[in-house]
Amino acid sequence: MVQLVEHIDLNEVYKLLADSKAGGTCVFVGTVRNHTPQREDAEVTDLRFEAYDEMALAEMEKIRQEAIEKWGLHQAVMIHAVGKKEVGEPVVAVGVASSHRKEAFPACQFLIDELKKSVPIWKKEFFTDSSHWVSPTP
Amino acid sequence: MIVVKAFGHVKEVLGSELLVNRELIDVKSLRDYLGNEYPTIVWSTVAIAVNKKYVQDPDPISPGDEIALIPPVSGG
Repeated sequence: MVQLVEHIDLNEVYKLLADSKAGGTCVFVGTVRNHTPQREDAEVTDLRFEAYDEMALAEMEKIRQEAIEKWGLHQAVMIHAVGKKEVGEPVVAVGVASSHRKEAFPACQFLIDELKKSVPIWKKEFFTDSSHWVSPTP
Repeated sequence: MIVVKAFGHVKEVLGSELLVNRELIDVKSLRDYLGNEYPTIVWSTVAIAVNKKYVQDPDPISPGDEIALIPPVSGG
């Protein structure tokens, strides 16, 4: 399951990962933080996310399938939020369900790392006094 | 006529859809056109997608293709 949504419901993520074959479930949640290394003097008020929807979903599905094959996952989910997001809100949730924890951790990390590399989604940071498009971080 | 979608900081310069009124045969010719028309953008950092897939300079462009300009992504 891959989705772009206005609001991420973490209970829903966990439900989507439910699988009776799974012995381990690993979920990563990214949230809006109130500071950024580029502006040590200013506080982030909110973020706005923009996506090239159709391609973002296609890229997410490609990454998801790669993870399922590589680690033999029972379930894998990638959900990203779009629109305005305030400090503390979840903006991305990725998760996997596998037979054992050993596969779950690296597979979950793979999903978020690859999402950050290639999925066409952009964030703009808003401060009390200005705004800017964020450059990618490793 | 080719319609090119733009996103992120590129959209703020070009608008969300750019109409290119000339014949472009491949991705390289699109890059050359954009570089001449919009020299303030650092095009080497902008990826190009055709029909929702990342492409390289030698890849062809055909009439009716969906073309998009993808500045460095920052999701997550």
